[in-house]
Amino acid sequence: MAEALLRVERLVKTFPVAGRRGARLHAVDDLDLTIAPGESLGLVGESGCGKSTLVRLIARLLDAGEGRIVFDGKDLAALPAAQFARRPERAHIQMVFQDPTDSLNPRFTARDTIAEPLKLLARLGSAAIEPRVQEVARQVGLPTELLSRFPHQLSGGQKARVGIARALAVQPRLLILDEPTAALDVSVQAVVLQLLDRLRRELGLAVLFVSHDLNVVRLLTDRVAVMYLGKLVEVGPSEAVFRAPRHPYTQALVSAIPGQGPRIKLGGEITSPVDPPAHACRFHGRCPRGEDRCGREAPALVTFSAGHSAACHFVGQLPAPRAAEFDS
Amino acid sequence: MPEPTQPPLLEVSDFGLEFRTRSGTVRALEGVNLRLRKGEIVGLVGESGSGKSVLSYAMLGISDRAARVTAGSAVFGGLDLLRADEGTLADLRGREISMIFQSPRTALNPIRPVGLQIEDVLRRHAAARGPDLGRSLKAHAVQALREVAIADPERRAHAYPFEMSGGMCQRVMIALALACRPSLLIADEPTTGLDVTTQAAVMDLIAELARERQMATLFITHDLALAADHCDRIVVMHAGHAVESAPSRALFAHARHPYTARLVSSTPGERSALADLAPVPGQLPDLRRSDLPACRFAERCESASERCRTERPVLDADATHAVACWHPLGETLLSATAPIELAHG
Repeated sequence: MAEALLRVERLVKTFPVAGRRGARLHAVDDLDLTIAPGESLGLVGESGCGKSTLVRLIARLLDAGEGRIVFDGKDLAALPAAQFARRPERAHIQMVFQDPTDSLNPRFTARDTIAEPLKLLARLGSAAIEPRVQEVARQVGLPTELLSRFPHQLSGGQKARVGIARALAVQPRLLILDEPTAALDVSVQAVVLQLLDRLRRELGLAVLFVSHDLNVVRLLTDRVAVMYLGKLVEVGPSEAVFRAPRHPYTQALVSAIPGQGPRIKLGGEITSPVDPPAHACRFHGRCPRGEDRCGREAPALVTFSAGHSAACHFVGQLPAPRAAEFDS
Repeated sequence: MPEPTQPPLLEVSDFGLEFRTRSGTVRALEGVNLRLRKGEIVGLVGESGSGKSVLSYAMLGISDRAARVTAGSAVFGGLDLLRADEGTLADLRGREISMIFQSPRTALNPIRPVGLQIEDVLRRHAAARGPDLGRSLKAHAVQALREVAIADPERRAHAYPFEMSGGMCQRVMIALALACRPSLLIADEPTTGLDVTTQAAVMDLIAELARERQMATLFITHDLALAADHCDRIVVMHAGHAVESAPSRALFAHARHPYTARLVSSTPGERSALADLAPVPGQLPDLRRSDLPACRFAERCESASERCRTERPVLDADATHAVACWHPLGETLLSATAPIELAHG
């Protein structure tokens, strides 16, 4: 495999819990992840599983507890988040936020919004900024006559394009998309997804794509990583993970995608993310496959076919039931 | 399929509503017909701005002050909600009709622990629900949180909304709406921002209540696939008109309104490729215009004719599969199974 653009190693982030001295909420726990140049990686999991924390760590908006975030050979975890905004690496990792309305400054025109990162990071002369703004606007299909409009004068799809243009302006190498279409209508979503896919291919961008919409993740990513309570439980080629998920949690997740066959229902108590037992599988208690061993021994990620790994004691025995269902 | 003979729990007929604004009158709803039976889950789908939320706010009597009902009625258990006085509506809200609002962050009280917010609702309607409830408000609130799969509900009951993730707040919102076991639940995008497993759990909970307590649900969403999975029937709205109403499977398999067909093809499915996704052309028309075509989809529609611009097609809410269109799709296909008169020839 080519040298990774981003390599997350043994990353840990815990938060103190209000009113409980010494208790820690484990948001990201000993997590490893890589993204190759030009690769699109999907990140999925329940709300509260630590996706957003992981994204904020990688985007360096949040300081890591332990572990390394190696970007292009350099460990970024060592840099305090407060200083990162002024580092040249800031331009290399850019983010498109969830809600295009909330994430745009209402007092900035589209032009101001797109020019802002150029002024702060690109060190362009003021004469060079406008041509670059126009160029990015063209790339994202935003008519240049809309550049002087304020967010409230733009439609949802146009605002989404402004958010994407802002991220692309400084020519990032890694683009983080946090639910980029969740706030959009399906009619507009289709266009924005096609735009993102085209941009990624044309610009050779690596993409970390966070979404609850698994159908969208499947369409837009090469590989997908599944998180459960701060841990990575499965990672592999998107096609394989969606066709034949191996971890029981992924199987439940994939079966819950609307518009298809029988759904695996999860019962049981959800393990609390506050000081979870160190020697138990986090999914134990909800897992339809769980045995006593799962309560005593935390499973490690095991690779069982090219680039496809899962953290489950029974991964070798799990028959990948959904593949058989689909084929019949 | 024969229609059940019991009268509908909610019967919206020829409902029209407009907003008077400084920049003109917005004709937000026109001639909307809708039926909801006990225990039925009806999906209300359409783009933002199609009038889904306006319709649901009107059911609760919480419309914006600029709103004015221009026509029609919305009868719920013998009471016309559009003309009921505020005191009657206040007693209904939260107890008989409750609502899950779209953005939990703004709908929840930011300076009150979530458990207490649930207790508030329970207390407001406690008198009507027996003396036991008063003693166990707290236990009920915790139970309400547990029902929506919030881990550690005893501890979370003391949390403020800002201490919870968006998904958690959404679940609190749902717990709040379901706490009094309403007979009509209006759920405005209740699972937006939730992951698919939580989304499925929430929809299961709603379906369970629908079955056990005969709770009717008006489920507002723009996710067609989700609506198809969990709703008995789907009503499609476009620019303030209800344009199609059908059992969920039928709507997907044989969309008859051109707008519905467009929506279906823009929804990513299990097997669709990125290139297959076709956006709906054009935008919703500006509802302030005085020259709106009678069928408000006419300007985005490939098969529009002169009749579409002058004569408004009406949705027959009592039909199993109804469409408000002069040129519905798949006529030949359907005429083989059901006698449907050809609207043009």
